[in-house]
Amino acid sequence: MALTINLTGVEATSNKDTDGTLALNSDTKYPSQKAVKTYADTKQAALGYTAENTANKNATGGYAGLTLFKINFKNTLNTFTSFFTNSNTAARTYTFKDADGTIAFTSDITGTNSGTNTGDETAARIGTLINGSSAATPNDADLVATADSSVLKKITWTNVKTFLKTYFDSIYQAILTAANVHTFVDSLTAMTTPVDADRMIIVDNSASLAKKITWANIKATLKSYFDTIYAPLASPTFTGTVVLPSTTSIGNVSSTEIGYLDNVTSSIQTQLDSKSEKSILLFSASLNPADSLDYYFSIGYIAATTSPNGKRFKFDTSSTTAIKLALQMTTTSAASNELVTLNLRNQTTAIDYLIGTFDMSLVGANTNYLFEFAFSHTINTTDQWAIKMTTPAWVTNPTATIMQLKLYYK
Amino acid sequence: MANIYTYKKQGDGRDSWRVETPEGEIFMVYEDPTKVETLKEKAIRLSSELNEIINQLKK
Repeated sequence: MALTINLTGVEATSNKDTDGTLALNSDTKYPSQKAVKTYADTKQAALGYTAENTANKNATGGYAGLTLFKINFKNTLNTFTSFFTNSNTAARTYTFKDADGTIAFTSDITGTNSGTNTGDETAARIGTLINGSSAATPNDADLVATADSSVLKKITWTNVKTFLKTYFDSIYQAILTAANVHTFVDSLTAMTTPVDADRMIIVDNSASLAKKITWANIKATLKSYFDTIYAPLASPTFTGTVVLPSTTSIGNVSSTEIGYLDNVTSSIQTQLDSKSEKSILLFSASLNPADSLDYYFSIGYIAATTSPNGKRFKFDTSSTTAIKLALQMTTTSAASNELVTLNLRNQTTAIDYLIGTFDMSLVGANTNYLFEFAFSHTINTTDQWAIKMTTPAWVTNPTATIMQLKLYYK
Repeated sequence: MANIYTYKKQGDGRDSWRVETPEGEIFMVYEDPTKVETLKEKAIRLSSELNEIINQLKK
């Protein structure tokens, strides 16, 4: 037979705790209802809570009948900086925009220095008011406040400008213009000769600035520039076609003398050389020439000898030139008419060049006679030359013959 | 060395001598270079030269 046990109403009373302080703090005990209530009531009282009476609240959740409200402001140092108090009779909204506490409803502030009464317009308050206003560019019709013997007056911006212009005109230079700068410069004291340290105004185009420049730098800059386009006074070098006036002179050479160069078509020196003659004078002192011999004329006044030593000369030009030779002679006894031969001898090359022949029978006793010859020959300045006279086999030899021979060439 | 003398009868009848010196110079002379002066000729020549000197001194 089955055993049925009814456990209804049976409890383990050993596990029930009726301590209203729940001091056991157990996970196996369970508190009685009374113990729980006692604990909760005791705890609420210990915490200082008072049951709220919702009947005292209005529709906005605020407490009805609140007549005194205080707000204390503290700074970061946790000290009081200001107080705000009001006894409101109606709902108000306060907006705190910044540290100065701009209050939305200033009409709520009353009393002295509230800004709403006579006498509240202190300099500080007015300054604050002006500072707080918006900036604007004045128009001529705008008004500006002014104090006339402690009486506040208004003045238009036009009149302010007119007054200030009259005043500033008396103490300031007018805006620079080309016209008044010209007048100003004209009024300056004239300087005749600038020195290196003097300065001038110059516009720096690259910097868009007016600058000063010394006279020394102006001169240096101009010299550098002029040196590229002008010739210096000392040892100038001209290029291209240089045209000088007809009055030009060169040193001691006058313009008239320079003018003599007009129509010259070739070297003047060459032309002069071609027209002037040079000469060489040779001699033979008294000589009794023998037959069929070569005699050489001397540069000095001694008798011609059969040796060319000491009888040689040099030309001072190299050219193919016309040569003239004049032979003047005298004798104490005329010769027979066999012909005497004259040669221009190149002693360096030992080559004779025929000048001509002459007849000494034409030279009368104790009389002078002149023989002339002309020929062309190429001469030079390097070789040694001589005049050689070759005597014939005379029937009768001349006696005491004195000869002077002059050689002309160009 | 002595001069070398060569006689030549000139076309006008004069006597002449071709003289060649040791240095090589050659020319004519018209008095006999080989002639020896006699004492008489020498006395005449010296007397003549002395008179000429005396005359120059007088000037």
